[in-house]
Amino acid sequence: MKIQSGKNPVKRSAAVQTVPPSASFSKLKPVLFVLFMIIMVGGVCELQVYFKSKTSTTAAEISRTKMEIKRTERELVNLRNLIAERTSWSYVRSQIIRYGIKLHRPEPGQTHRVERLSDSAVKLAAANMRAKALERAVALAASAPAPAAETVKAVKPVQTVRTVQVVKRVKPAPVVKRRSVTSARRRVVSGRRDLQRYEFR
Amino acid sequence: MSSLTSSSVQTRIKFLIFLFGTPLIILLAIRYFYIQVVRHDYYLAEAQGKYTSTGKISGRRGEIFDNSGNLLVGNMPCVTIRCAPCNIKKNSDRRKIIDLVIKHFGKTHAWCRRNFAPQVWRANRKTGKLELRDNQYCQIVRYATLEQVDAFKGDLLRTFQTEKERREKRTTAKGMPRNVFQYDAVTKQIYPKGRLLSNILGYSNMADRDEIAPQEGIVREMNDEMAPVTGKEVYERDLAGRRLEYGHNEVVKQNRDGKNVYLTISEQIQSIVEDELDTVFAEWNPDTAYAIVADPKTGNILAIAQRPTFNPNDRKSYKPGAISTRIAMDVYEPGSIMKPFVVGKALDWKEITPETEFYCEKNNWFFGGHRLSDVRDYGTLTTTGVITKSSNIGTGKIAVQLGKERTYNVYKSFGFGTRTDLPLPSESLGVLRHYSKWPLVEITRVPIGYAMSATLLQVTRAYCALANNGNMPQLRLIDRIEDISTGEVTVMPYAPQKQMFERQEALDQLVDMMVTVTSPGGIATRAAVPGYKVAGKTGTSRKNYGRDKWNKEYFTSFAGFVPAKDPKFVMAIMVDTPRGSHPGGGTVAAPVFARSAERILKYLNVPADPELLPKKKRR
Repeated sequence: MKIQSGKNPVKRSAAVQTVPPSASFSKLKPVLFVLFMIIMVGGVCELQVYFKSKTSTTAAEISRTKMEIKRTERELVNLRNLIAERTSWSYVRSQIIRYGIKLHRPEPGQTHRVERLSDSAVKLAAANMRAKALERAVALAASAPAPAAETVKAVKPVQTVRTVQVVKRVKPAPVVKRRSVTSARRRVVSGRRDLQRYEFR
Repeated sequence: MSSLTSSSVQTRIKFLIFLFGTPLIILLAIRYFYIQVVRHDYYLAEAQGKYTSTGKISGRRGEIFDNSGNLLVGNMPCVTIRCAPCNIKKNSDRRKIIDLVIKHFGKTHAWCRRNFAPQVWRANRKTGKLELRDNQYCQIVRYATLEQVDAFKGDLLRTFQTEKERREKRTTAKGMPRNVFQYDAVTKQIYPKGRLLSNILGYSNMADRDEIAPQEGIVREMNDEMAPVTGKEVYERDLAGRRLEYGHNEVVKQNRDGKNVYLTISEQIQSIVEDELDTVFAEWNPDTAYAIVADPKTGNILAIAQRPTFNPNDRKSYKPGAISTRIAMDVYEPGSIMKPFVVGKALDWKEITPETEFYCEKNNWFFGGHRLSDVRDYGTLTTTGVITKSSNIGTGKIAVQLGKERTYNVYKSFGFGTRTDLPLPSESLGVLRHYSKWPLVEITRVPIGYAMSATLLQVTRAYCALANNGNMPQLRLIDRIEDISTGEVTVMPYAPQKQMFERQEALDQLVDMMVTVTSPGGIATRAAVPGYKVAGKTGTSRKNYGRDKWNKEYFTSFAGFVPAKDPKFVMAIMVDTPRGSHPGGGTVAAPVFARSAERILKYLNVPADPELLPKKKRR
């Protein structure tokens, strides 16, 4: 351990100054800081704009849906009014007249009270009805006359008819040649004076 | 030295900054405090005024239903279409729009030329001179239905769309003129049942925009309950005026929907009664005809109709004699319909019995200096016979036996001369003079329905007492009121019933007498309903147009209830001046009762008595 002072002092030369490696970074620090702040603020603003636009789009959707609901409600009210109109007696009567539906006036005896039978009474009534039906069938069978003897007629064998499709041969239609129309000239075609064609050349 | 300078300069700079900067900062802080704190409310209001709007929240008008909830008066959503013709730049566009307006809304060419002109002559308010100005407003149609508006908008789009836009099924058209049409949602009062119950329901006129001004009937009497309360709200909006859903919204005044009114009327019974009134109107060509059907146990009016009538949906049918509630306003001399009351009370007080005999003077009885006659020459009739044959002389003698005061009290106690207090405008009192003002002859005239007048409502109420074991109910037309917003239903109270008879036996005897009127041998056999016992009385009173000027015009009426024991309804009919041969209560009004009662009994599912059915129809 060297205790002596003054020996081997550190010599500093003014001419050469070595820059420590962290000095440039420290100069960039404020710039970086400002950049970082700008990015942060920009990011926050961007987020805010994004959410605001989302909100306004949603608000527009909400108001459109509300209008649609209101419109549907109005249509429902309209339909209800239509039902009330269609169930009115004046309309029903007009339809009865229009379609000629035959109705009759109410008859006093059309409704009457029916006694309700007990289970045993129902069974008894059903048995009585069956017995009566059987008696009627027997009586009918006994009173019906004997059927006459049937004569068997000779039946001719069925002839199968074969249909043949006849195709009539039709002469093909004559091809009418179109002549050019460039000059006017009367021309009689092969001795037939009734047929005259005018040619334009 | 240089280091000292730099430090002194720095010190000076700092000092100057401190000297000028500090007051500036203080001033700014004070200003900031002043704006943000002291004047906060003012600037907030100013700012809010820029981005908030005040809007009305309209309520829905109440509707009227019958007892079962069938709609009688409703609200119909409509659209008012307005137009700014000055915004249509091209004449070809104007012609296309005019063609569509004529096609969809039935306007004429002349109307369209006048109202769709781009400029119009208007007087200057200050100078009074005519100036040519842009035509900024034209109302095309006030109450267009939703279907009409959809069809119009569809045609408008198709007219101005290009082929490409149609193929792409676009909902807009580039060629459509902008800011031309405005569609406002409005509501209109509608009567979906047409003429049914129109005189009682009444009608309304349209005041400014959506405001309804009821004129007659229940819509006027119940307007306080049915009218909505318009609210007010403040809301935030964007630059285009659109409401911001996420913004601050405040309801300054709460709106309220109108209340729904439910009547005691049954639509089906009302239709039956109106049908039969139409038949009698066509058959006898009277001036007016009225009919009322009521439930005697509760006093509920099941049907109330009058002819002539009108259709509230069609303004052309509004004739002067047809739009008012005449059934409540008109009074008439009821005639023989009044006889059962004095006979019933005489039985009740044991003055007479059903077998008491009265000599009917062979159709020629002078009392109080005036002659009283019957339809035929009756000799001696029992009390039952007096009712069965409707003898005026017999009834007069019974009234004379009771005396003026008691005769007057009979009719007063049965409600004649007092209103029924139904919610109908201008209900008449009728006329029943105090017995102290009666000349001697009047005691024989009031019991037979002359020298007094009543409305058909009063007659119905009195007959409800006869049908309800002597208990006279208060007539009811409004059954309940419903508040849609709260769901609260208020049932109109039943008034206490007044007992008219001291002895049930007397009432039973009276009802039996009234049954004989419609039985074979009675004067109203046409009121009989096969399978049921009908208790009723006819009335035929001659019109008097002045002293001793008797016309050949009649009020014909019939009132009765069926079945006689445990009646389901009371019906009263009055036909004013029927024109035909032998008009009378038994020939004009009684058949209306029979036809209506038959149908109503079937609707109410009241079984017929098999013993009373004609033999052919028994099952």
